[in-house]
Amino acid sequence: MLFWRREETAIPETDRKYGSFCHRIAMNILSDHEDSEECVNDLYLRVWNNIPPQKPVSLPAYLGRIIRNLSISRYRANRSKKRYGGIERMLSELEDCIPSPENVERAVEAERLSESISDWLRTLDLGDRFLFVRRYWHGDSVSSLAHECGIRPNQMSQRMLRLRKSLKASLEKEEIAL
Amino acid sequence: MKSEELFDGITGIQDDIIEEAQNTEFIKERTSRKKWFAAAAAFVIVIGAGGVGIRFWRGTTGARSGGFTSYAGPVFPLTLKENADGITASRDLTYDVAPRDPDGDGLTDILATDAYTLQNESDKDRTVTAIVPFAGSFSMMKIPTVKVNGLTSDAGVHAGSYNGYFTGTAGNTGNESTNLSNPKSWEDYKALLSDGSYRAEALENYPELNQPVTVYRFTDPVKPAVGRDSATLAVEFHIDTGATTVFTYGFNGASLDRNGYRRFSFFVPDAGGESDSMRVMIVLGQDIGNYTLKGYQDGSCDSGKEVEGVTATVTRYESTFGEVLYPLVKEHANRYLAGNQSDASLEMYYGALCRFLMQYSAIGSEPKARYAACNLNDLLSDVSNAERVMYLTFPVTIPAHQSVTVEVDSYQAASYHFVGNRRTYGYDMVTKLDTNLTFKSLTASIRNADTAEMIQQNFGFDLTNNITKVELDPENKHYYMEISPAAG
Repeated sequence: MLFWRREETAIPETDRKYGSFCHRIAMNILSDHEDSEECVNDLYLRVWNNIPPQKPVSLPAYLGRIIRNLSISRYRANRSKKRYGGIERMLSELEDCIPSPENVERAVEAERLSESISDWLRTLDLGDRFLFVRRYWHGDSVSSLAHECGIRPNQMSQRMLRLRKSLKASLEKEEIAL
Repeated sequence: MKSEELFDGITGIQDDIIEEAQNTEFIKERTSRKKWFAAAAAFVIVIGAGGVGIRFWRGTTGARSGGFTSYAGPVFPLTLKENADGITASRDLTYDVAPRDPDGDGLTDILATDAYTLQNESDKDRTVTAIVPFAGSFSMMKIPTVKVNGLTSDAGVHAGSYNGYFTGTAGNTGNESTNLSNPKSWEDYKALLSDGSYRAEALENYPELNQPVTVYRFTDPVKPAVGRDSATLAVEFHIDTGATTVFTYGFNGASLDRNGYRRFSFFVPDAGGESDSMRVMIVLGQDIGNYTLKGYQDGSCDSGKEVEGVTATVTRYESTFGEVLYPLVKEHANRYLAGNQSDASLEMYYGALCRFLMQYSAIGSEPKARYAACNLNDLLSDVSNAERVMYLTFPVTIPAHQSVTVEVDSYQAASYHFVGNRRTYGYDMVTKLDTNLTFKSLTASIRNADTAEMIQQNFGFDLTNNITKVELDPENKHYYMEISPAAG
């Protein structure tokens, strides 16, 4: 509403309410304070410029998507110069989910892929869905999730591996290629 | 890069899923003291996906003592089911510390070889049942291998009950029982095992659940063909809480209150989509009577979001609790244990669930708030992940005035700890806990420790000076070491 009314307090209020959320996502991806800070600043500028006319239904989801996109853009631009541990580890894990080329036929646009992943997430129980989103959307580490759940990281790793395999099977069943 | 495409695809997942994760958390806030069911009723008035105030009650929030962030349990000594008169023993434990993966995120299990020489000092041959305890969980279970005089022995495996305790949201606060709290140190195992009752129960047969039940099975769910959405089917009814208990399996959401209102819901999958889970309501006691099926736009099941054309076939039949549970356990095990390459057998998993239900569920002897919603998926997850002590049993014949060797190879999970950004791994052993053997000799060895740094220990190893085998004092009850990948 503050953005819609072009009030100057919109960004400070957003930072107060969602700043740590956005910072955490950026840090989880980039593992670099300076780059993360810059991405969050870019985020606020973009949101100020985009709303209006955009009117997101869910502000945290909207902010989270933009900060993810800004963070991975930063990674792509600088990956030859810097090591971004968080995103590299996530991307390495996500290799497990890539459908086998001999099993699938059609390439799909990103929106269709997101739909398929959403559908697959809805087949999971709350716990698995929560953990997958925390790991691969928020970027929280396996260790921190394990600590939060009170289980050993090895158990959490195994659970994540099972989820990745399940996603792969789901994408193959839908004949989605990447 | 394809994984980046997947990353981008994950970025675009739908808002309600992101919101749900935002609104889901482990219980951290303090609750007031209440009867377990009243606390549970307040606790479990939750809505399925999309609602605010979702609680996700996995995890341990009990106070942690010093030492390891996560404690894996020690190597336990061998014991005999029969008396150990005339039998003396020596023991040598060898840790094979493999090089670590510095980029890895998980713990490292190491190979521990626990070798015994059992000497029969008497004039008569002795045939005894050897018992070897090991700590672990079904989800990560790796059964140790046993050799007697160099020949592999086919050992029986028996699972003990969950070996931790239940706690409230801020440590152990009396009657609260919403969280699991696994053992934190060897002393917790000492308290658990010292009187022998835990082992005795583990070696008993599992309970049989012969209670008559009424089952409502939900199949062939359908929704309008309006594209992919979060269509949810909910079943609502009222029960007399003193006469009826309802367990569910395969449902995503639940709403309960102390007056007997019940609503269970699930997302309706797309036709021809991924193989669907079984979905059942299992009614113990008085049947539920009339119920309504209602479709909603999403898992919030909010008034005003009803949708026509969302329904399922409901089949009612009568059975026994145990009979209904078995295929559910099988499905859960196929989904969650098979992928982990766990050694846990279906029968053991099923038996452990039956015992767990009779201990901690709403129909158990010590019902816990954690299970007040009677969600079998949650119970099975806890049975799968709960830490427990398991027992190998195998016969050993020791001729008069002779000795036999027994060697147990197991993968010891590491206890882990973070010191700043540095990860350390702990391994320990106990020497006298729950054993009737007297060890006249006790030694320990460490191998392949070239890339490890010893942080702290009481074994007496000196890696710098290549002292990798030490004699131990059998009267010292506990030995430990904490190691870390060598710096650089």
